[in-house]
Amino acid sequence: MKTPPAPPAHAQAFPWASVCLIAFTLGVAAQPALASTLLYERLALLRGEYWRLWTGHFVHFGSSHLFWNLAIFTVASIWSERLAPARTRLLLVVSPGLIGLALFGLDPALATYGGLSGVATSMLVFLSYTQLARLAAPATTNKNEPLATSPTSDRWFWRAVLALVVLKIGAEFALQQPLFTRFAPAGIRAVPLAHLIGVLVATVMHRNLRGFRPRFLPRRTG
Amino acid sequence: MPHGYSSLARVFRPALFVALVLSALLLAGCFSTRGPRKTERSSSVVSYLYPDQANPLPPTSIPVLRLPLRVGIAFVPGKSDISEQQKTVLLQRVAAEFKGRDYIQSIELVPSTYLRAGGGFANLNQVRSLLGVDVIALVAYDQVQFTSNNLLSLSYWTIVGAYIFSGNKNDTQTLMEAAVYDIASRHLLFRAPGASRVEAGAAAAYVQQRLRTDSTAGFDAATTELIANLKLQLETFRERVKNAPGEVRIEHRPGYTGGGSLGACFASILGLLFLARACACICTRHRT
Repeated sequence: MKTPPAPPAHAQAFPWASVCLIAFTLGVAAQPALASTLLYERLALLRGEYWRLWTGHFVHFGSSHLFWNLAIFTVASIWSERLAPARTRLLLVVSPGLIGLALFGLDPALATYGGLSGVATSMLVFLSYTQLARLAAPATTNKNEPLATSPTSDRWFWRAVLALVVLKIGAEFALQQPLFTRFAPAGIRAVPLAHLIGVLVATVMHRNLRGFRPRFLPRRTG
Repeated sequence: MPHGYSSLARVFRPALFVALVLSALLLAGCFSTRGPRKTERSSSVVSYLYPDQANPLPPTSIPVLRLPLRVGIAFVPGKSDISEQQKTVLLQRVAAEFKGRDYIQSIELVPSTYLRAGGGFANLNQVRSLLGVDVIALVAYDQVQFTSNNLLSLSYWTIVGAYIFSGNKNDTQTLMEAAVYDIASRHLLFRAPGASRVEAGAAAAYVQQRLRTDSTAGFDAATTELIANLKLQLETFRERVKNAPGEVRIEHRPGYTGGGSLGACFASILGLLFLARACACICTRHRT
C-alpha cells in the first residue's frame, strides 16, 4: 500500500519557539518591575547574574522601541521557523546569549543594554539566507529538514534585504549614531555591534549547520 | 455717695476722656497712618556670577555635556532672604519634576551655605568639585509686597475693628527665574521664568502674618509656572542641540546605556520592499 506523501515542512512546523519569545517580550513589557532583573547590566553580570546576557534583549526602553523591534522579529522569526524549524529554534536560543556575550567582551563601556534588534537582525538575515538557499539550489535541500519550495524567483528581494541590513550597520558604525531610528528617551545610544554580531551568528548558523537536526527528533522520510 | 468722691470724679472724668481719646488715636495711628508700605526681597544671577564686572566677556568654548548629566540646583544668595526651609521645599518641587529622566543621572539640592554672595564661577567651581555636578540651575527671585489701606481701615479707630475688619490690602508680586549653566564652559544653556501675583485683604492686627502667607503662596505659584516653563525650555534646548550640533557638544560618559533598535524607517523600507515583491509575484503569475 502506498503511503500518502508527507505534507510540506512549512505546513507542519508550528512556530512555538517564536511565539514563546514574543509572549515573553510582551510579558516583560507589561511588567516593568521585571526589567531591573532582566536587563543587561555590566555590573550585575560581573556579580554573576549571567542570565542577563540572554534576557537583556527582551527588555525595551519605550513602546516605540518595543513595537518596531517586535514587529520585525515577529515576521522574520515566525517565517523562518516555519521554513527551517530546527535551526531557527537553535538560533533563537543561541543568538541572544552570543550577542550578549560579545557585547560584554567587546564593549566594556556599555553599562546597560536592552532591545531585541540584535536578535531580530539575526533572524532577518537567517531568513534571507534560507530563502536564497531555497531559490539557488532546491536539490541541496536536506532530507532531515526539507524546505518548502518558493513559488516565484524573488532572489532580488532577499538580496535587497541583506544589503539593507549591511548598509544600516555600516552607516551606524560610520556615523556613530542610529541611522533609521531615534530613541524616545535621550541618553540612550544605538549599539550597531549588536546587529553585527546578530548577522555573524546567523551567517555561521546558516553556513555550518545546514543539516542540523537534534538527535532526539525522529528523522523525516520522503 | 460721699462728697469727696464726686469732686474727684468731676476732676478726673475729662482727664480720663482725653486719655482714652489719645490712646485710641495712637493705636489707630499705629494701624492706619503709615500709608502704603513696600517690602522687597530679591536675588540676582548677574550680581552673583559677575559681581564686579560691568561688561562680562562672553564664554568662548563650546559647552560639552556628558550624558547622563549630574545637575545641581540652588537659590542665588540675595538680600532679605527667604528661609532655608522654604528654599529647600521649592527646590525639591523643581527637582522632583526632572528626576527619572534618562539623560539626568542625579539632581543635587545645593544648600545656601555652599554659595556666597558675589561668589561667581569660582564659587560654582567649588560646588562642582564638592558635589560633583556638571550643570547648575541657579534660581533667582524678586518679590515685592505692597500694603495699603482701604475704606475699612477707618474701623481701626474703634480698636476692635483692627482685629475684625480687613482694612489692609496686600499685593504680592513674585518673579522667579532659573538659569541653567554649564559650569565648565560658563555657558548659559537655557533659562525659564515663573511669575505670580497674590492679592489679599487683612485686618491690621494680622497684616504681617498675612504678608508671610502671601509671600509663601507667591513663591509656590511662581514655582509652578517656573517648572512648566523649564520643561518647555528643556524641550526647546533638546531640539536646538539636535538641529545645531555645533552649539553644544553631547558626549556619553563611560558606562553608557545602549539599545538595539531597528526603528520605524527600517521597518517601512522593509515593508516597501515586501510590497514590491508581492507586486512582482502577482505580475509573474499573470504572465504564466
